[in-house]
Amino acid sequence: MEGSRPLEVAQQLRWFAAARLRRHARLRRHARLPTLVVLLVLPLLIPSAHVASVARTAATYGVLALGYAVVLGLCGQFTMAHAALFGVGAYAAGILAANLGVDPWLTLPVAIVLAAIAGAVLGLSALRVAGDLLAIVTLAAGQLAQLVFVGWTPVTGGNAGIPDVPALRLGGHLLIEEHELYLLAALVLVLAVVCLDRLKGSGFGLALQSIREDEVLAAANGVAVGGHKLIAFALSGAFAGAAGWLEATAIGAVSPTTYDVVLSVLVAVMVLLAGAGRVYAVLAGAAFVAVLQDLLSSLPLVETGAIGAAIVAVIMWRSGVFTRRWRPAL
Amino acid sequence: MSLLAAVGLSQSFGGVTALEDVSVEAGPGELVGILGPNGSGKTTLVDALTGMLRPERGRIELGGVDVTARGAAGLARLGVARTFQTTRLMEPLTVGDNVLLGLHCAAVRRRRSRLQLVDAMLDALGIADLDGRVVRELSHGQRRRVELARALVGSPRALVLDEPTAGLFGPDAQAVAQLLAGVAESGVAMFMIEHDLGVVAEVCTRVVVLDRGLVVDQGPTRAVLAGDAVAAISGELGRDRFEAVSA
Repeated sequence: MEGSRPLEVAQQLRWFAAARLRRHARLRRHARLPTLVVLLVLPLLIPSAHVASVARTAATYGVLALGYAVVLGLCGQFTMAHAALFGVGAYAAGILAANLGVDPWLTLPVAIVLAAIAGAVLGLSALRVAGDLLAIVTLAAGQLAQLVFVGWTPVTGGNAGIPDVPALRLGGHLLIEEHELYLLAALVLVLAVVCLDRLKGSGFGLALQSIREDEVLAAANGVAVGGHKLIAFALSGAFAGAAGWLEATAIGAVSPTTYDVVLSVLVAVMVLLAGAGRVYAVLAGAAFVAVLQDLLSSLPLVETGAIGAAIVAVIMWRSGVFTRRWRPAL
Repeated sequence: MSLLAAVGLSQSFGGVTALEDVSVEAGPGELVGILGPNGSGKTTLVDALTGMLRPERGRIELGGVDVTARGAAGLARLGVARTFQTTRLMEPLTVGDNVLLGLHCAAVRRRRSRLQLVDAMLDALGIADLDGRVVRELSHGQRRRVELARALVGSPRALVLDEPTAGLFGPDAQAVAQLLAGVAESGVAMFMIEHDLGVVAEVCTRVVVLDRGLVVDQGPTRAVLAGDAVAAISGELGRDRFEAVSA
């Protein structure tokens, strides 16, 4: 079959070119993680407890924001109850460790599982409503969670919260130094990045993105839209649960005011600032918010103004002002 | 024996009858053309055949089994693939990723094998050079072929196509039509809405003509195309072109 030989060669060349493109993309992707690790080491080199504390907050926010990136960035579900899931993780750690005497390390899987379950329950609303309505419904769910945090006093400690969460212990050594706590948060963050990177590149991640782009298209290709949404919410909750555990064990206290709607808005800002589907940019968004919060902490009025501006920015993003979808109202 | 069939479908929207007791079927290796003017119920029929729409009356059968309640995702998992009248693609993603989505239900689990299938399908449709391109940058004709690649890559048992050659011209439309005929010959049951009667005459084994929700004619391609039903709606179907092709 001499005649088909040039065609075969042409086909092999095209496949080779496509494979080379994919290899380059893979190399670029693989270069990002070592870069992140190098950046995460930098705060450890600065002998300042305050810098380490801000870096720890940034890393914790990073884990939280990565969870939100699963549900918004990959799956396209705009929710406003992420702070509540963060709270579930923190309260799970606090209640088990402080009230029931469980080793704080053992509370991590419980915090993750409980927050994942809470996430899935929250996700049930996404089976019935979408878009802005989903944001409103989940906002209400977040407020309900707040009521539980404040009102279920015998368990959650009410307004006082849980003031004495035991510190983590590693081989007899208490992890109370800011640099140690930051290192732990950074390790969890790297793990979360690896998980999300793998998720994004998987068939499941592609299915989530198809839901984000077009649910009809997703269903036509065999994607169980409802089931995938629930799993996305559960995964998002799992990330938030891990972040909540980090927060509770690092600060040594759980306070209901931390997990309010303002934090949900800030998480949305962290993710939207970066472009919802971009894993590493989301981390930059989280670091930006953590640093800004620290800089403005001595200026409460300015901080309140900044939060107000953030809310306006989120609403403007929803209305498409920052994208090509926006058209001026006539 | 039919592989994919609609039996006694009826559907109305706000008092307007879209389908009235419509029965159509396609067996393995059959490519059934669906003709009809705008508003005749073609897309409603395709939506019902692919589980996008649960009909008010009647049923959808796949391999003789009633699958009406399975929904779009369920039917896709059973091997029913489709394309849309207006191409539906994941705009910010690459061509390769869009085609990869067509393998969501495939038994092939290894990523490398999946990518090889994607490459082979892009090559078969002459768009291998588009692999890494973002879909939103593509022309209409290219998008049409990407959608076809996505529908075909999973080796479906049945394929339902809504105007697969729309936006393609001359040799491109011809090549896609030949590809579809080849796919049908491999044993896939196919329905195809098509306005280009030249394409219908060339590749369809049977034709169904719809008008105002009713099946007004169906049978072997040549006989139906030469019949009164097609003559009555020829203005909308490009009969001149058909005559030019068949001459």
